[in-house]
Amino acid sequence: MLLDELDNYVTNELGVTLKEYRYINIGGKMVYVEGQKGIVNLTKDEISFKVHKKTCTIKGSDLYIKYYDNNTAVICGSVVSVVVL
Amino acid sequence: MKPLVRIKVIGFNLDQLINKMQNSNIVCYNIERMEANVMFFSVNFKQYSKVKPLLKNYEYHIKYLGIANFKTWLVKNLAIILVIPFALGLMAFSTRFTWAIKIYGAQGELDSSVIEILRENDIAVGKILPENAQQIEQILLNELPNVAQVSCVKRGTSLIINISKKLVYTPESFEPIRAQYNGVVTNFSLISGTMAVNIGDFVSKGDILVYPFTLDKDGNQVSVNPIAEVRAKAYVVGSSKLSASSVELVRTGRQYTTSSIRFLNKNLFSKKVQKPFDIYETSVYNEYISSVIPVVRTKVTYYELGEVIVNHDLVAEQAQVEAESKHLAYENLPTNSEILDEQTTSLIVNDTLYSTTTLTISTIIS
Repeated sequence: MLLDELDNYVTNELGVTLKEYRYINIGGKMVYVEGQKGIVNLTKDEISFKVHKKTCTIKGSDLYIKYYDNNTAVICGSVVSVVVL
Repeated sequence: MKPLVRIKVIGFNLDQLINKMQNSNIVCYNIERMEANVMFFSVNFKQYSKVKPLLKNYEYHIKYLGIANFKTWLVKNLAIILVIPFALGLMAFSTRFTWAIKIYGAQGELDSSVIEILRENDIAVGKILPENAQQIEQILLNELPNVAQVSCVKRGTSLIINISKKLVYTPESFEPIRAQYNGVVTNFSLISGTMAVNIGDFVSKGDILVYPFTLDKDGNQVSVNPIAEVRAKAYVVGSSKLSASSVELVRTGRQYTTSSIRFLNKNLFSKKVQKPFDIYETSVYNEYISSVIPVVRTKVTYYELGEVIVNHDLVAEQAQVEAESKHLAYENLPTNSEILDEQTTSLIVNDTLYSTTTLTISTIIS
């Protein structure tokens, strides 16, 4: 898996782990989120997830959740930004 | 992708609904929030049963929009969907046909004649399986006279036929016991078969002594291998004669010798010899010239013979003639025979002495 390889690389180089939550923005068309704990907000323009004491917010237009299970989510649409606060 | 159930939900706190479904390990697809209180999502068929009570608990207004991806799924599995009923139909159709005929108990010609009879009755591999197996049994019993029992069973698409042959009476398979010598039957011991002669009967050589059958309680002949020992009083005769005057050939003393060389059975040096004498006898002597080369020297000696009239004293030589007739009689004596009586008679008729020795014996003639 790409994210696992990336996680190993970061762990080796920086000594930190990314296993709490991870996300990847694929060309502004799709966002893959791992480690989400639930939906906070769901609209066409903004989708927010709880991630380890923080909130991951995806902003854009015509957003919808393509896949959603108890750990991962795939968000499709025109993604403008992904912010974790 | 598997077909999914598409659901439209109208209500409040829809985010909470999604989180509840997440806690229940329900995977959702294509979640779309159209308005603040309207949401669409899809779940697969297996998890739909989990979703239904959840939605009822929260008293949402629910609308099922049908099966998502059904067309895609249908197109992908169209071949299987079409082939399965076709294959099942083909299987059901093929079970109506005979695909194997197994015949047990028949060998050789009977086997082929069973197949021929079945074919005449429209029963063969690739043709419709007959409904009534008992009918086949009856047909085979009627058509095959040398069959005692037939059983026919249908096993799936196979027709299994068991045949039992009749035990056929073959009287020609055993030969009767015939007399080996002339004689009068004195006693017999019969083990199997039927006696053709009685004690005191005169039998000639070749006459039947024991028939190769016995009679059952119904009077029918049952073929058996005849075994019996028949003893008879038989006569063995030896005879000789001597004339008072006879012509004998004796060597006159004249002789003629020729020799030839042969190599590999071919004459190399030889000359054709005319008859040297009117009456003669020859002696041939072969000599190998070399032990290595196959060259043979053949020496032929011709002895001239002359006719001499010899006169015999019949009275004086009677004992010798009788001995000769006796010797001839004993030469003809069968093995394992017991001599009961010996009689020699001599008679002179027309200057010729006839001597006959008759041996009365008890012997096995079977």
